[in-house]
Amino acid sequence: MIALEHLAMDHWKIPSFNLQTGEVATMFSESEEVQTQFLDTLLGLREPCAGTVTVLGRNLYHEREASRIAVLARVGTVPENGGLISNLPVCENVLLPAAYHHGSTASACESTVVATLQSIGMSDEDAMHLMVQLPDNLTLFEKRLVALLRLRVQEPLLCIYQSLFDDLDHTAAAQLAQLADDLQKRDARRASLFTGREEEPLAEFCTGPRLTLESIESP
Amino acid sequence: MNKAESPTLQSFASHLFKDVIGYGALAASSVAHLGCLRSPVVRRILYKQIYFTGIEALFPVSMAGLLVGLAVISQMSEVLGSGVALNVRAIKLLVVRELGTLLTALIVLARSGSAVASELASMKQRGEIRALYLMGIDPEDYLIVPRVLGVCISVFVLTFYFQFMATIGGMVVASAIYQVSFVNYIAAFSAALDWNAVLVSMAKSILYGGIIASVCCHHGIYAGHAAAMIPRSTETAMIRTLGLLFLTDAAFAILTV
Repeated sequence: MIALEHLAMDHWKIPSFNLQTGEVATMFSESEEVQTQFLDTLLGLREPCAGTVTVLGRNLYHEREASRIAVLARVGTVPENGGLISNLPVCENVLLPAAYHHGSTASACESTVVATLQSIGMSDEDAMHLMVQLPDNLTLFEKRLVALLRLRVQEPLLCIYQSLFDDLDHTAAAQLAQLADDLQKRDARRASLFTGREEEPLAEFCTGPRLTLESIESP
Repeated sequence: MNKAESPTLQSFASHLFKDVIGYGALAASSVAHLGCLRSPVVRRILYKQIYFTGIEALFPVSMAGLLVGLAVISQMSEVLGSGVALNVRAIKLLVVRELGTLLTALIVLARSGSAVASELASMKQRGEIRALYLMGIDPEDYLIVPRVLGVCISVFVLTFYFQFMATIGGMVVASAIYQVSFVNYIAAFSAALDWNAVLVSMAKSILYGGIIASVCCHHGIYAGHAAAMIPRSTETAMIRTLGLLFLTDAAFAILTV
């Protein structure tokens, strides 16, 4: 799913690593900037200083735009702030990638979204209220929850979560961890990578290999 | 030229040249990506753009058309008398050939061009364009193509609406004020209508729509990540679009005399 070989950027490097089908891995870094840089390198937005990165068998940075986007359509990402589109209400945000790539409709996804929200104890009324909100009115927890719902509807092969548990209380982090775990278990081929700035929740909620970035000292 | 000014002017000219190439590249790329309209998601953005740029502009365009028609006829009547043929000729030259397309483009620029530039710059600043990319959605397909096409369609339709309002509305008001038969106006206008001028007007409206959308999308999507870049990129988009619209209009006026 993900293969890193001697990957290095200006100020950090990472040991060679393979994320296999069905696996969950974590990557810890105290710096949000380093995490963003790592994810951008992974997903082909930034060229690494050294080494190679392949995602779903492709080196995305060197792919043509169309093939890179075709690979990214099978990858689900939850950025730290949820990555929601601010001029779309929550229901359209949830549906966006699935509708764009697979032509999914709101009615086809409604039961999935309702069941997912019920699984964390949200009432139908609260769920309805959430769906019509604009992202700017949501809390950090709600933004990440909506981004997770988006992944649940999209059903990607590879899930990448950036700081999913950071800056949240334990209960909220546990609810998101439960949803991410349910999503991971829905497909035996699926793999997940969690990155985080806080070590404790990553250790508590995610099992599997841990990636550690090593800083490169300036000469 | 002052030596100290030289690098600044050179740098400005170089940036301007690069930007103009960028506007052209963005417009050409939008045409090449028209196939993305097969996606219902992209079509919905197109319909929204037509609604915001076209349908919501009907009222201001109606008012501007009526007032311009009235102003043209009353000024011409004041200076050259109230002859029907003269008024019709004034309407044909000023409204159909020149003012219709330019004023419609200016109204669209003021309402939608600034909105497009600031919306895209704001999306860039919030990391939403990166988020789209990470969802496997080409930002050009999702954000640029429907906006460029929507603005072009809207300017095209609004230009004819403006001309209709200016011609008919102006004639109604003028016939009421100057006691000239409205039917005479219509008959004279139909006889005098130059279809070449209509074709030029159609071409201009599509081109102006393309200029507004390309320049505003370019400055929006390539804005920096800082919040201060949102007003700056909007302002640059407005100024550059105005300049390009006037230049293109002057070029059309010279070439089609």
